[in-house]
Amino acid sequence: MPAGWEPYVSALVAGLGVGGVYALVAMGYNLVFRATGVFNLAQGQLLSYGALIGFTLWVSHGTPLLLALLAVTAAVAALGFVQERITVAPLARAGTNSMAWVITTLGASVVLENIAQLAWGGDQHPVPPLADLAAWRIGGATVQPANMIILVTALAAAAALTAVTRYTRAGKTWSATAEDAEAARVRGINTRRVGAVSFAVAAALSGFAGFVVAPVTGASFDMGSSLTLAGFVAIAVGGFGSAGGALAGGLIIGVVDSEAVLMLSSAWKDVVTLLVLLLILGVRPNGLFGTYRERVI
Amino acid sequence: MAALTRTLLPRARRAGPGPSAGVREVALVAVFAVVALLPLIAGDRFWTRKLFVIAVMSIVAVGLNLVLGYAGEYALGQVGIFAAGAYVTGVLTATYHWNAWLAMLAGVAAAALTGLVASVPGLRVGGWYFALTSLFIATVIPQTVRLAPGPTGGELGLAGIDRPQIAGHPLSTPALYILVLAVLGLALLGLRNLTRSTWGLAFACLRRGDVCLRSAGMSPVRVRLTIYLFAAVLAGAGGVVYPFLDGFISPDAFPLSLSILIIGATIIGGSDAVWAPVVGVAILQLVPELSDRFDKYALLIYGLALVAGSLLLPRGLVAPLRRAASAVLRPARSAEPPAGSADAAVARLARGDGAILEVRGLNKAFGGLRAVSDVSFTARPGQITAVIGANGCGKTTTLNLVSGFYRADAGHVSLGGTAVEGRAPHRIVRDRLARTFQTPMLLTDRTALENVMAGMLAHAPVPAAAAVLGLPSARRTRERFRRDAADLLAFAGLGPLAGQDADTLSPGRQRLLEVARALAGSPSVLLLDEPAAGLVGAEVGELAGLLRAVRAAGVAVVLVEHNMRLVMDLADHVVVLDTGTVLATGTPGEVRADPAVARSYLGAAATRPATRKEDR
Repeated sequence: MPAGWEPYVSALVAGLGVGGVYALVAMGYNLVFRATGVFNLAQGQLLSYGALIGFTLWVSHGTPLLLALLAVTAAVAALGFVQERITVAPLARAGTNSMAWVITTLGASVVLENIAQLAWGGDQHPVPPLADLAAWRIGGATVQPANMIILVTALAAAAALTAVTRYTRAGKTWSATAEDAEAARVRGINTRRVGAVSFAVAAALSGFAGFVVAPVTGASFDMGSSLTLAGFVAIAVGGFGSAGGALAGGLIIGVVDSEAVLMLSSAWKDVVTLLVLLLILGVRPNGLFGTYRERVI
Repeated sequence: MAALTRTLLPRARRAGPGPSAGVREVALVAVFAVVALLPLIAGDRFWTRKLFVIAVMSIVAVGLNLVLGYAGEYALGQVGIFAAGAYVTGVLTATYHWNAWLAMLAGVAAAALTGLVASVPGLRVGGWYFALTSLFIATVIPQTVRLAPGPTGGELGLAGIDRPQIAGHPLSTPALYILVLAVLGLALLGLRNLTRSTWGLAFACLRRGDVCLRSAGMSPVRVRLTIYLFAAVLAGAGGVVYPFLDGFISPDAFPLSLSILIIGATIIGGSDAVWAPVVGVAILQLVPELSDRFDKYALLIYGLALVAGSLLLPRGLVAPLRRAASAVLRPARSAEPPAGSADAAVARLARGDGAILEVRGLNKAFGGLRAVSDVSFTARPGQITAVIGANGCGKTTTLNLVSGFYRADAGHVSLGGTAVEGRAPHRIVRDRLARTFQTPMLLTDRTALENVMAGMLAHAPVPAAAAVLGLPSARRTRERFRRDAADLLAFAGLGPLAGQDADTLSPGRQRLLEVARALAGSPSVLLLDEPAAGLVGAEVGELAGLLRAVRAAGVAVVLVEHNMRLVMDLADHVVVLDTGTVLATGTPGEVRADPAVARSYLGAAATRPATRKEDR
């Protein structure tokens, strides 16, 4: 175990950066799952498209940063929308008991990953920092601006989603569908459209996340698959329901991972994460911010 | 061996049409022989390996199908348990030089233990939380070998795992394949016996939800642990053979994608047969090979095939296959239900102990809201006690408190003088207090007969081991359930509908069916939660007739109901609740005459003689 507080602070900052990515994936899961009852197993692949398209536009073609960011977000949102139309919408008739979506979204992840490999090759493409900032130093600890950018993105996304669900008509429509899809339909809400829009918004988040994470991880066709699981753990820790829960879950898992590697070794990372997950679910079976109802009948 | 075959392959029901039992056994043995000889036909190392892997993954997947498909439990950690079995066997053989056969036994035991430990979250957290946790556990377990790199080989893997020997000769790869295939075959037979026994009904109840299982008198914890254990033993059985294929294993052999492959195979197969996942595994393993000629587009086409296949067959591959096969081979899914006798059902009900239900001073608050305060009443055998009151007055809460689904803040419930408050709801069912629900809690894709059989589960438990082996005792219990359930259906006037799926019945018939199932455990007290809700015309009359017959058999009936005509018609004793307290009690006449009741609930008009006529 290293001496002094500096390494722990550096690990904390790095953990918040990684955790921000987990949180963005988890927010996507939450958006889609609450509205449609589906886990989009291709969520991580959508993120890799954000990184890869961003690489092409911004690094290869020199598109201005903000324009590239907008284009990436829009493109991945469109990709998510199309994915929902093809892999989820047709299953509406199969009934809520059907688990066919596991196969169709898994198929989508395989297809997306392979198209990415065909288009961008199997290499990892390095992406320079988004902003030309020097690393900050707090005493001996290092704060990488790239990590801070990811963290701020995650915070902003959670705040925006919370505000939208609370204060806008579209957000309330989503909440109503998430709470009770059948009751929402009775009230005249087109829950299928809510599902499709949720997919698009979740994809936009992932695309954006891919763009901002690329300077840390590089852009590669297979960067999404490892995030699939981390997003699962984040949502289980934070609890289904709100963007805030996904944010908290993602950041907690990111920091725990990072500090466990520092204090013990990389071999302990997943084991410590599992213990934290079990501890949290032991105390709160529906995650930190999940809702719990006593009424069972 | 012949005796074993007879035990594991119970004869087809005598009454069932279609090929005779002998033909089916011969056909199964022939299929097994052909599959076992496939390596000789294919004759090349690559395909022998592929077949071995398919067989191993199939063992894991049929276990997952038991928990996920049959019982609806998201225990997705099977690959972690598989890895535990593989590593314990590998380490004992390679590092500690155990006899490989002994190491395999130890591996299965370790996998079973791992499965039980990994299932603990499933007893605490429900649904998708368990899914996510168990998936994560599956990927963490293989990584734990990195913590002890000495004996396990750590990240780099463990080599030198020598194959088990027979008479001093290590098994060849084809022999290893036949060993795995034999394990798979035995697993399928055992699961077939298990799911066709009364345990199959318990799994269907669990799939419907804890409330359904508990109202059948079964402990959800016990049923869960039983299926988790079965699935773990199967995952372990696949795991302990796996390291011998290459004599080498590493943590990278058990990634998340393997978990998803096994889950995918289970879903592609569908839960319509115990062998369905084998089809799923074979497809997921073989399709990428078939498209090898497209080389770099292979995985792309595989992904497209997954999407297209699943859109075309959202309920899995085996269900339509099976429907086609049964159309050719045998007309009906199962044998004709036996003809029941209503008199026999009455005789069994009348044998009850005639216990009195006494409720004293029940209190329950939700947050700051007092739902029930100081509610007391008595329900006597051979009487119908009605509990009435406006919506939200605490009727259903009272039922939930009496039947143990809610825990009372204060108060006593006794059954024949024995205090039952604080007991778990399934215990109270075994104390012979049964209930129905506002929304019928039926097994929708099971027949009416099977639904009634589910109500008997708690009262004639079959050891799971006896069910797996298909012992005569397990089959006799099922046959007795079938006969007794047929009697109850005849009693409820549903005899001709015994073979119909519950969700094809009219709402009225579903109510009658739920009452019949509640009676299946020969309860001394029967609680009914708005049984007439949503019934029309003649259906109410049928229900009233059934309830009169239940009363005549000596059961204490507690009826929560809004249909005043039905209540006034049937009840011997009425309890009126108002905002959580007892407003009045007495005979229907007394209650009707009570001015407080008239004001609060029945409406002033109810006291006028003219309305009496309308009521009739």
